Amino acid sequence: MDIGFLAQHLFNGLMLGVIYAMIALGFSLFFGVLDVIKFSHGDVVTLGAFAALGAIAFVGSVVPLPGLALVLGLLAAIAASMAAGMVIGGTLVLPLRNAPPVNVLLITLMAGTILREAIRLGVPNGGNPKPFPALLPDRRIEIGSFSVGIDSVTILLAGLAVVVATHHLVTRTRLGLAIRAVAQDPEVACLSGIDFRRTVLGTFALGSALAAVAGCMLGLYYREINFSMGLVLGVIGFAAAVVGGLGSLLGPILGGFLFAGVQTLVTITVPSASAYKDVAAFAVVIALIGLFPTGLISERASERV
Amino acid sequence: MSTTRRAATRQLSVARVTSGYDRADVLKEVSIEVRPGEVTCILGANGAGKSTLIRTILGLNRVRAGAIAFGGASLAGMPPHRIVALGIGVVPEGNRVLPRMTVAENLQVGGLLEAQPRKVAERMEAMFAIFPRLKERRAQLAGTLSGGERSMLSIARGLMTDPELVVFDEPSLGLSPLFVSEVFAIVRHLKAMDLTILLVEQNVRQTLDVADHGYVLSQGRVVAAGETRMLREDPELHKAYFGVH
Repeated sequence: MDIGFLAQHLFNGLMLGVIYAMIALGFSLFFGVLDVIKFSHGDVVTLGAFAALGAIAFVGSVVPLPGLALVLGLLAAIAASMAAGMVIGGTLVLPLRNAPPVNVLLITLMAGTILREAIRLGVPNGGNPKPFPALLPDRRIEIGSFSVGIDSVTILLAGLAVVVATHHLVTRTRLGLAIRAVAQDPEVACLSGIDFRRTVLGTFALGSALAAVAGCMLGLYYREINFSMGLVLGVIGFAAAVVGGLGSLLGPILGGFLFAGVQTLVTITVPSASAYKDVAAFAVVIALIGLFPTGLISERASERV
Repeated sequence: MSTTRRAATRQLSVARVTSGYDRADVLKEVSIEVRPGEVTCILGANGAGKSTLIRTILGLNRVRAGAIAFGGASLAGMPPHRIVALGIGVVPEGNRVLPRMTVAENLQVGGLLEAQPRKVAERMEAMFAIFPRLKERRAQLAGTLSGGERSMLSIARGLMTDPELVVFDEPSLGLSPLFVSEVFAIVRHLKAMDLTILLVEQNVRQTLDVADHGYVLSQGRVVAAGETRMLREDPELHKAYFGVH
């Protein structure tokens, strides 16, 4: 097996890892701040991708500027996902704050289904996969036998930047301070002058914006999106968050890379079984949860949100 | 505090307030007044309704009947963060700190209402002047502090909101006698700075020494009230604690 081939797979693994990490971060943030699992999160990823697709098509029909279309597509995705996340958070999750957690789980599962079916029915011919325009430069970088697309490099770097920015936001800004205070003791947070409701909605907005970016990146990478993509992405994001440590900040990032790493490893070592890469990754998740029931990182108390 | 602050002018008035949990009323038509610049104490045995009264004033429990006002503002129905923003600082029961944040971050949380970073930094320095121990520990996680240090941090965080009225909810609970004295010394210090103080305590003797006015709660009602030197002799006070009739 040559180095170039390996490097290429490694690179794809890193890129998927950062995308999973962005989705997993949302699960972890929601759990940190309200102790809830919001199962509509995967469908918020889908919503972002479709909002981007719509905006890109619209811009493309007006001016032929792929760069502008990309930027506006991203903004539309973030706006749509943030709005959906805040509406679900404000109308379904917050009112059920004192109800058993299983109620929130169920109701957000239903909300996700509604969102998914609304996309299928609302988008013309929405049941079929939709081609996502290739807006990033199509050229490749060649170093010996290693060849990688500029689009993949861009996605990986942008994803890493988003993850680092999110970490910075949560650990270094006023909003982040409020989010962490609410996560650790909501009552003390309120009595220190923090607006509980606004902080929780801000957390939902932040997690959903990350989901939107992840959705756009998946579209740009696979050049295709479909209405049900959020189903498995939601489960992967959730699994990555749990393995890494639900409620922590670095845990879900680690979990995301771990999940993509196992997928990649299967693809490299047993190319004929690459269709089973998710099966292998979930098996590893199950084993790790058995070994580290509270997640890989949650032992280090300092890093919880 | 080194920050120049105006003398306290606003009075906190609780008028015939009924409140409680679920269906049960714990407080029944309780009326108290916390005069500006004075230390007012609420005394009473466990279960007398002291904490419920504090939680109701702070917006954590709903007011079922009656009115609460601070200066000209009505507090009933207001969420806690807005009550705090009016100038009411809180040192919650149990010396609660944010355990997975550093000492400095805990203080910053108290300073979130202030938009200017310079003012927050000034206040933090003022807190370090009052509590030098917190300065030494500023980079340490609050969860690793000793009980006494936590209580200092909890008080400092409450003061970081730059309050005119400070509500102390059983600050000496669970502290060693040495730290209890220190807490009361801080209350005196704040009083000397013209802050208004509402002090809820079980520690009767030291509380009466520092307070100007007091109320005795028993089974959700005010059973005695007045200046502390009068209250000290009031038989209702002894009944409230020892059940002597």
